[in-house]
Amino acid sequence: MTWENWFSLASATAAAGWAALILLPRWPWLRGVMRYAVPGALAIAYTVLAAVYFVQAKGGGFNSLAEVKALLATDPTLLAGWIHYLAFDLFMGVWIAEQADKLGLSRLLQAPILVLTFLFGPIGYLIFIAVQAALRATAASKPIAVLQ
Amino acid sequence: MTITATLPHRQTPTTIAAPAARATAIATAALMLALMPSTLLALLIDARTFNGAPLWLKPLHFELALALNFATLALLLPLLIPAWRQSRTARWSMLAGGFSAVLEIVWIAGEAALGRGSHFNVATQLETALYPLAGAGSLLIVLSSGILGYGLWRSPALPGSAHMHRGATLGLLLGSIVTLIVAGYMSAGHGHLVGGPQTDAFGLPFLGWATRGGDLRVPHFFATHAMQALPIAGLVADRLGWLRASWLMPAAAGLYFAGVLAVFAEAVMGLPFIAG
Repeated sequence: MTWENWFSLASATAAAGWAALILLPRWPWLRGVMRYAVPGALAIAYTVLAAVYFVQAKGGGFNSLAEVKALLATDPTLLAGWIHYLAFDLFMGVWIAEQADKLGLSRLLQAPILVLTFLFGPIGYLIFIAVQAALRATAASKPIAVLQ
Repeated sequence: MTITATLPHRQTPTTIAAPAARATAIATAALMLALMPSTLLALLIDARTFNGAPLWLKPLHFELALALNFATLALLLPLLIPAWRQSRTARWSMLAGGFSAVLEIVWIAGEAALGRGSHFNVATQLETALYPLAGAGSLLIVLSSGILGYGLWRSPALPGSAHMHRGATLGLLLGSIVTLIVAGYMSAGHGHLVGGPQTDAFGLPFLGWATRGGDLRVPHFFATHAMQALPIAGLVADRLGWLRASWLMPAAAGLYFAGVLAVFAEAVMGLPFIAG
C-alpha cells in the first residue's frame, strides 16, 4: 500500500465514524466503538508513524514554523499529522455529542454543530460551548431573563 | 463575630499510601500490552536496524517480558497472606518496580525511535547518565519479584496447590537472584555478544540470539522466566495429583537452574545456544 492508500483508509475510517455519530442512534455499543475503537485505531496508526518517521524528517522539530514545516515535509510524517487531526477531531465530536445529549439538545441541532466540528474542528467546538452556555443560562433562570 | 465551621471527618490517612500491589502489577502489565500492537507494526514497517538487528525487536521483547512479569506477579499476589500482601513493603516495592518498568520501556522505545541503542550506549553525556539509571530501575523490577517470592515463602499454600506454591516461591526467589548475577555479569562487560562477530545480524528469528558466538541474553532469558516456568510446572504436577512428593519442585528447580548455569557457561565461553 502506498502512503496515499493509507491516507484514504484513515480518512474513510474517520468519515465512517462521523457519519455514525451524526446519523445513527446512540446505541451503547456504538458509543463504545466511537469513544474507544475508532480513535484508538487512529491513535495506534499515529504512534507507529511518529515513532518510526519523525526522527527521520531532516531538520524537523517543534521550535519554529520552519522546523514544523520540515517535520511534516515527508509523506509518512504528514500522514501522521493528518491522523492526529482525524483522531482528536473525532474524539471531540464524541465528547460534544455526549454533552449535547446530557443537555437534551435535539439531534437535528446537534448535526450542524458536529458537521462543523468534522470540517473545521475548533469552530464546531466554539459554537458548541456557546450553545451549551446559552442553554444552561436559560435553564438556570426564568425565561424572562433571556428577553431582557 | 467568629465563624465556626465543622471540618468533615477525614478518612484519608496522614501518611502517603502506595496503591494495592495487585493494582500496580495489573496496571503495569496492561500498559505493556497496550504498547505491543504499535511496536509490532513499527517492527513490520521500519527498515532501520541497530547493530544488524531490526530496531523495534528489542522494545517488543521488553514489552512482552514485562507484561508477562507483572501479569505473573498479579496472579500470584492473592496467594500471599493479607499481612504480606497489604504490607507497606509489598505495596511500595511493587510501585517502585512498576514505575521503573514504565521508565525502562520509555527509554528503550525512545532510543529505538531515534535509531540508537539503549543498554551499553554511552555515546552522549545524556545517554551515559541514563544507562546506569536504567540499571538501577531494572534492579527495582527484579527486587519486586524477589520480595513477592519471599512473601510466598512465608505464606501457606492453598489446599491442592502445594507444588504450584513451591514452584512459584522457588521461581521468584531463585529467578531474581540468578537474574541479578547473569545481568550483573553482562553489564560489567561491553555488550551481550561474546566471541563471534560483534553484530546482531546473524540472530535467531524473533528471539535474536547470536548463532555465531556466545550471547549473554540467553541465560538472562532462562533465569528470568523461571518465574513463569516453575509455577507452571508446579501447576501441572498439582493437576497430575502427585501430592506426596514434596521433593518434586526443589528437584525441578535444581535441574532448571543447572540448565541456566550450563547456558550461562556456554555464553561466557563464546558458544552459541543454537548454532547457525
